[in-house]
Amino acid sequence: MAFRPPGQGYGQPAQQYGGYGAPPSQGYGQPPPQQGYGAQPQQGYGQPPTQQYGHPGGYGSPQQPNLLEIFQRVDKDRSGQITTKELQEALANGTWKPFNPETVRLMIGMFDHDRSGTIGFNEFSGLWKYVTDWQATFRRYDRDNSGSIDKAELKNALVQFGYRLSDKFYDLLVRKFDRQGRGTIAFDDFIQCCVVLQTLTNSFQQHDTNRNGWINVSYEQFLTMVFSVRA
Amino acid sequence: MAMEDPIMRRLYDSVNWDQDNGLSVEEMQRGLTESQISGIYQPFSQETTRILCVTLDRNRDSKINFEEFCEVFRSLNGWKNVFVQHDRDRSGTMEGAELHRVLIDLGYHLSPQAMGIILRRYSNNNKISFDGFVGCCISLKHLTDGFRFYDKNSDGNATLHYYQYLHLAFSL
Repeated sequence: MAFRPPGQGYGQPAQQYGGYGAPPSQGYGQPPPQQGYGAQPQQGYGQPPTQQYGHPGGYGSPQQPNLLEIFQRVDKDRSGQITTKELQEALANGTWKPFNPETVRLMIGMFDHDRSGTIGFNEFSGLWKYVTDWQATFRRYDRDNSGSIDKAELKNALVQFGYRLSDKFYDLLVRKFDRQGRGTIAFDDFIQCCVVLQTLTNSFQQHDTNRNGWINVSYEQFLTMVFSVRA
Repeated sequence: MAMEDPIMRRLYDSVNWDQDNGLSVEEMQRGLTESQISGIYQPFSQETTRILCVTLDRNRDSKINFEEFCEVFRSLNGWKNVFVQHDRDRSGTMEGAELHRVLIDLGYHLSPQAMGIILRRYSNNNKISFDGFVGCCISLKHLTDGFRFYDKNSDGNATLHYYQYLHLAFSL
């Protein structure tokens, strides 16, 4: 499953997380389509944001930007495969610092279907759409166009995605994911934050079969859930 | 009163670029890289730096003051001794099997599946760098302590609410 940045939330509001004290129609987010981590995102996730926003700028026509040209620009050594390093160098986070390597690894992992460790052209279109969808999502929630997302904007985004989290928890999220040290979250860290949150939530949901917000897990299961986020 | 270690003081001052009362994660990372504790020309990982700062920021002011700085290095030197003992071929990296042995020595008895997940997270081509090793051990200890807190009857199972689970997962 590639966590697709949602449009209005996740589609059907089905999950009744009464155990949270939250009104039943809201939960902490929708379950992902039942796929492995590398599969193409499903429609059930809500409409990709680009449909509401028009095409992301700079990439040519919305239908088929010249993907091959983009691929070749990213694949600097013309090896025919995009490495983690090449992808990292091709992406911008709004600062002069390198793109979050964890985020790069996450994305490669999602679209590297043949497990080669690199992205070939056939795997690239999914990856690039994913990146541009996230750019649109980020722009949408960066209300003041500052180029980074502050706590309030993050809260707004995650509430829209279906999460019900405490105010203090947002402080924790910012502290943990803000690699620039400015108290706000840059584009690459925003992706990491959302994807990690979603991955942890998915693992939780797999164990929370009666959907009451509680799980009972063994130590090994717990470690697997928590360490798998960066696998 | 204990004397300040002049080498530590010099290193601390040299990375405290804004001359304030403590080091940020970024300044800390610079200090760790300059100390070359992870190896010659090895940048110290930002992720492990962040974890060290979170766990050793004793007065919780989100900065690492000089005392905390020295404690970070004491802790790292301790880890370094363990690492070096297991880095048999002196490659500067540890192999997956060696990490497994260290974790067993530390009291963690993990299944091959759990070990696999940890190795996927912390190793590169089945090699674990020193800073990866430190990150792994600290994370494992922290999460295990957290789990134990919720394992009320110490039977290896814990009952967790979603918020408790997220807090634990994000606590480092």
